[in-house]
Amino acid sequence: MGFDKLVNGWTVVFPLAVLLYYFFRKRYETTTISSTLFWEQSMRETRVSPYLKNLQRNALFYLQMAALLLLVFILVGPYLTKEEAVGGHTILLVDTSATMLASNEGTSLFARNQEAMKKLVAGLPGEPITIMTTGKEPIIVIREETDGEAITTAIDKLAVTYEHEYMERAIEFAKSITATGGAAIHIYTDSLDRAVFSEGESAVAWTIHGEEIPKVNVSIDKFGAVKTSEGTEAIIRITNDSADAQTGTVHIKDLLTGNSLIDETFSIEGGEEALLSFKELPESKSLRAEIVVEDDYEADNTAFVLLGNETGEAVVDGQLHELVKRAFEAAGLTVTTGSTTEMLAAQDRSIIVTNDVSFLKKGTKPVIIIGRNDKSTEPVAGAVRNTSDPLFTIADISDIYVSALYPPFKSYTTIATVGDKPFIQKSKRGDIVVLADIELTDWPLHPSYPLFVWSSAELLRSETDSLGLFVPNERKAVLSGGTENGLEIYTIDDEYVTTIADGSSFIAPTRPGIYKALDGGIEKMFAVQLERSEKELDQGSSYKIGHTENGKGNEEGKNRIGWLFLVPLLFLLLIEWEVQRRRGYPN
Amino acid sequence: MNGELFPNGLAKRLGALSILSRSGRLGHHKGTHRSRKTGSSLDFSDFREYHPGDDLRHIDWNVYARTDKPYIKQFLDEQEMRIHILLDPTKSMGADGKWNYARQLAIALGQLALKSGDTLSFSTWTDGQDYFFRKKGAAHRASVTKFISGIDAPGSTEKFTDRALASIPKAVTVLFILTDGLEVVGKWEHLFRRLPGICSDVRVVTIHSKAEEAPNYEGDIRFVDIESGDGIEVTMTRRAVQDYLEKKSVHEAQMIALARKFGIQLIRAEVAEGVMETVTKKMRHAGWVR
Repeated sequence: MGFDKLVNGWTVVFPLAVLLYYFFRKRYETTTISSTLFWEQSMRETRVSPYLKNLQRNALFYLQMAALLLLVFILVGPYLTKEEAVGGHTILLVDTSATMLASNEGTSLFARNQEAMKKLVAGLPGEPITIMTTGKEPIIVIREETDGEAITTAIDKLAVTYEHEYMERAIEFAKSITATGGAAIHIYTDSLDRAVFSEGESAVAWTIHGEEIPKVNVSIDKFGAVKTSEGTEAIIRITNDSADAQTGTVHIKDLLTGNSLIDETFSIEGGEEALLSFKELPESKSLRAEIVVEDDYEADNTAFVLLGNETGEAVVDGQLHELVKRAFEAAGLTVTTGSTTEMLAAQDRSIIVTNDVSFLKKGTKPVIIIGRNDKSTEPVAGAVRNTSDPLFTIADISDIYVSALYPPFKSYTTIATVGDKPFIQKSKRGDIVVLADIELTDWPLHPSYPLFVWSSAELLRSETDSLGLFVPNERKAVLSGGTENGLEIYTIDDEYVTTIADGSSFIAPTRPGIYKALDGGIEKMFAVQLERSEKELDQGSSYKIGHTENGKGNEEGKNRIGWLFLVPLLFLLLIEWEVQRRRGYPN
Repeated sequence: MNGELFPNGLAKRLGALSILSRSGRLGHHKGTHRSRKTGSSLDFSDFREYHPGDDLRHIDWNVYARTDKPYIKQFLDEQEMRIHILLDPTKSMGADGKWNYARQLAIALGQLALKSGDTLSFSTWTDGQDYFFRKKGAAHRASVTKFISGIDAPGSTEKFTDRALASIPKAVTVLFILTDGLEVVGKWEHLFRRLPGICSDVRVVTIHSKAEEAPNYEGDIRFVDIESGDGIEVTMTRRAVQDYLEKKSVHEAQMIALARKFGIQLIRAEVAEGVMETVTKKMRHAGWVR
């Protein structure tokens, strides 16, 4: 409670004056008489107990004092600080990361937070509420909504997106919303360090609702599988975050055939991690590992792996121009420079970029050939033209200049020409052949150059039947055939999930698992995996930072209670009047 | 002191009066009051036939001579009265001159009794000491005055009604109780209920002072009870006084009603009117003295 008009405190003079007046009032003269029998009898009606007697004798005084003090109290403007509604605008920042699924006694933290939010909202009728969810791209679910029904519905609709919360990003976003005027921001998360709040933001009151209950968590930290000559080899790293030893079982399942491959028990000491490896598994394309263990967080008890895919590396022939390597780096690949032997060794899992045409005959996977090491160039002139090959959907190469070309491969499909000479060719296996050295063109000066390189790398990757690994909600461009239907996403059990208009706006599904993407009749698989940070449960705490001090938000933060005392005051005056009427003045 | 409390002049003015009682119960000793029984006084009462066993000395020989039959001549008997005066010694009697007045009244009644040749007993007490006086005959008039005058102040903190019965001697013809009556009616009822068993002629004099009759206070007064020491704070308003007087008159009315119920005579006396007035007018009017 506080007082707005403490200045009015001077009115305390009045009750003091009355007090003084009563100090100076007549005292009782003591007289001894034969018997107080009759006086007592005549006074008996007004005498109940010593305290009440005192009260009765001084009734008028007490009433006057009470009335005056009440008046002073009202004048100084008392108010109660509303605990929740600091500022007119309340923002609920809801962490929707997978760790919010950690449960306590059967209820997930997320569900509990939903209840807490509803309770908070119920206490703020008519106040504008904004609800935001976290993620790489924070989303405003409702903005400055005042309809309680709509808010409750919105809260009910909130769901976990499994994506890492990127709380700093969300906080910055929330700050930008509240740039004008104060607001109360409630963050519903599991743990948030105080350090993320910078000082001196007086307009915003942060309330962090953290998870204070410690959790037991056993998670699959890593799950990997490689093809070997003997079959498939899988490695699982299991981490125990709790203090006590945990035991459970590991199940590895082939998702395509539905065969269970491994059922094994394990036990881990508290705080330790265990590495389990399984050799000579039957060949499989997608595997799911699951641990069955008593813990509070289930989302990280499952992991997926897709085999024979995900060529995130490129090996560039050392003889090629430096700009080639740069271009592949720019396309987001891990690029190494290698000799022929190194390239041969890496051919199965990397994109090979070379001018050695012998690679066209080696290995099983397509390669990128830039230039030819077996022929020499011939000068060429003319405009560069490309076909409607998917490689050129985003890279228009018509304005580049090419000075000389190598002779073409006869059986290959030409997809770009200079004049009437083939410039870029594709083999049946999928190899991409650029019949010119980079230094013979001005291509690197054009924006189409890195785009072409990216498209090529994507194409080679998509030659496999996998789109790769994603984290939940990840936005990543994939090379699609550009068909009308776009990409249709199904789960491994052939349940329809969503349709994505084209590959460049691909967003991974939220739930972890193996998915199929149907691209114009071609089925490609991809896995959605939890981020590593989402496999660790942090115990946090609830706290408050900052309070709205000035500004108009402040006014609404006070619950004025002065008027409440007006009725008792009037009542007191009425009693006073009645007492005076019946008993007369006290002397 | 003695002279001041009960001057001789006062005694002389009371000279003609004597205490009257219609009660049949008199003392066994010879006195001055005629009894309904026949006795040995000089006043003729009746004749009756002689029966064997009667005293031969009482035969009226003149009548025998005329009628040849023996007759017994009977005379009226004269017997004494036993008069007891009980003085309320509670501290409340000490206020407003009530004590002096009560003592004067006791002396006056005592002298009347002694002068008639009756047996007078007087009793009162203070805390720790009992006063008792019993004499017969007019010769002791001075000593009763002295005895009663010697009790300077009332000093009993006990309730009068609790103690009264114990200090009344047996076989009392007339019992005078001098009190201010300032005790709750219930107590009085308790006392009055038992008095007729002790004495058939009980006379209560309630003594009231002027301050009690018409309280003349102003402002805020804290009244302290002289006996219990309890204080009560009263703001003197007309209403409060009126209330007080009402309560007082109710109390007195209840006392009178109680007294009547148990065959006790009660008169109220005021300090201001003086002993003479009380005795010569009120008591005479009530038929207590003649």
